[in-house]
Amino acid sequence: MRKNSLAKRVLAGFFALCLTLFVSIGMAGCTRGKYSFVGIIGPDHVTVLKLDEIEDETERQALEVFGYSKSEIRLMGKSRFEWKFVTGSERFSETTITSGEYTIEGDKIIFTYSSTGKAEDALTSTCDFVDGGIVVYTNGFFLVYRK
Amino acid sequence: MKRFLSVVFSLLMVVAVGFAFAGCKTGEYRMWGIKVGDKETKFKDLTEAEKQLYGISETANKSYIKLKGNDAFVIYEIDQNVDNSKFKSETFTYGTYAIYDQKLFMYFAPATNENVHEEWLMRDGRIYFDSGAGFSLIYSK
Repeated sequence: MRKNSLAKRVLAGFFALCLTLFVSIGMAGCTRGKYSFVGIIGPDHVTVLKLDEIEDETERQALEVFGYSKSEIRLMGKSRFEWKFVTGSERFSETTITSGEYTIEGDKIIFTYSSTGKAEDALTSTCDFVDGGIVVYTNGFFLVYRK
Repeated sequence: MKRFLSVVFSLLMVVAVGFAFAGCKTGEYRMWGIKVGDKETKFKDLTEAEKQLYGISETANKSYIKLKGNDAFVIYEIDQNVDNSKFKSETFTYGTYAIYDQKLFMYFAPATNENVHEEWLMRDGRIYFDSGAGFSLIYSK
């Protein structure tokens, strides 16, 4: 009788461990991956506007010049990230990849990076992490990235 | 017949020399060091103070210029404090190039999307990039 109860307890413990493991793997799998630029919110609209829906030519050009329109964020492992910006055409282009670390706190994602590669020059950028997407505030509007 | 053959061989020779000539210019040029005035210093011989002064990161020798056979080039630059640093900034610049005499003309489009070109020096299998700040970066095969 006592042996039975012990076996049950061991099994329950084992299943709880497995569940925790699956949940943590599932959570990590949810956040990791490539988030591509899909459009912007603001300054005078609250819905996501795709690049070809932006009527203001200057605004659209600015997104291309700064490399936002072809940008993507890649979350790797537990805390590594890469942020890629692409400007120009296929033959004449410039790609900048900034790598650093990220942490997720509730519905916020905090990126820590350094454009010089030195830890003492590190900067942080706090962005929204909602509905499986990343929303970044910049120059009066929000950049929206989705998987 | 002999004359014809001799013309064919001459042509082949010209083509072969042309290929060889093109072959020696194309390829990957790695960051070798810097040139200040007439003095050239290898990257590994630069002091910490010199690296600071010229704004050269510890992993700058991983940077390279790749000249491809189809007139396209790619410049890879990296800013990283130490090899195992978690922070890194890498830039790939793509464009086209032309070589005339000892000059390397690099055509590229920076963030402003304007097509610009720069004239660099190419001598003895090396590329000298004038930083505009009193020193040149040397890239060597």
